[in-house]
Amino acid sequence: MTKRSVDPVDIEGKSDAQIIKEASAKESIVWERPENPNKRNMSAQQVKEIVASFPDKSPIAHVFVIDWEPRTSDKGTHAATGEKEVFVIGYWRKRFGQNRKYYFKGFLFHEKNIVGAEYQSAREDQK
Amino acid sequence: MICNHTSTTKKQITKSVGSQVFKMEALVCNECNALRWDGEIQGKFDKWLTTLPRDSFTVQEVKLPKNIVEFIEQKSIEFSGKKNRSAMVRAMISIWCNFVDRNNELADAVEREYDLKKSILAQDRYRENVRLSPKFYIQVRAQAELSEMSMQEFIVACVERISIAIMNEGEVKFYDIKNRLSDIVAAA
Repeated sequence: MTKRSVDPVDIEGKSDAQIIKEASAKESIVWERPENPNKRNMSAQQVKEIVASFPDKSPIAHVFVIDWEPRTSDKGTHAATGEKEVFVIGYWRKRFGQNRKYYFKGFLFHEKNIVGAEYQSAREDQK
Repeated sequence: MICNHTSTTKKQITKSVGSQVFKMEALVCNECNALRWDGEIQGKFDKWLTTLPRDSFTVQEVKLPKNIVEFIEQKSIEFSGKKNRSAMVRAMISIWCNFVDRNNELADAVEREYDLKKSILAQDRYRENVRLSPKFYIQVRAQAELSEMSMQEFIVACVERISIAIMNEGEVKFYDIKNRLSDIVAAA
């Protein structure tokens, strides 16, 4: 069976948050951590729901941290072809009137031909 | 310190949906026990969901205000020519999850409208069982968890807010919620 080819994300003029959102809509891989009452780790479906609400325009109001750092892991399906830097995003929004903060860490794949995002960590900040 | 999942082993993993348990092999990190949920596992999970009895995806005893139920019935006749309360409730949840919740400004505006008008909600409640498709059930469950609500509470919250938004059409009228709802219900 051949895999369907996916058009890469057009990154021209887009914010980092928007690129991550569009890449995630194409393919998302999430490392789901076990449930822990002290850490609100997110499931793959929860990541999908939250990332889909990243704003397309003026992301500054909601994305309060965006940072890139060198990736240290070179294992996994997309590690060889993925970007050499990991993104760290802090995202704020309201849900039913309550303030919520989320943190995501991961990397985009493939380098210069982005068709997905792998999340090494995704959690909601504790209140 | 955030784990980079450099050392992994293939292990059997489980995921529960109600009383049913999904089992399959996945890569698990030897250090932090995180499991790698990728497209292949998602595909198998989606396929497994379709094998479960339809009743597995019914949310029981959703307590909706009686005046909202009357409003929903009236609107379903207006939108589709027939009284179809279930289709309206599902459409309202879908509008919330796939449209309102994905637009921060709209979600905030809907919430402001709700805060202003929530006193109109009747105390008397009507108990509704809401049947969802398997994939929609998983989405609603994730949304409810993110909101720290039960699925019942989440559905009530969505239906009350969307009803108030289309009743009043205050600052949310430019987002066309009513027409979106009408299109979904007419097609149901």
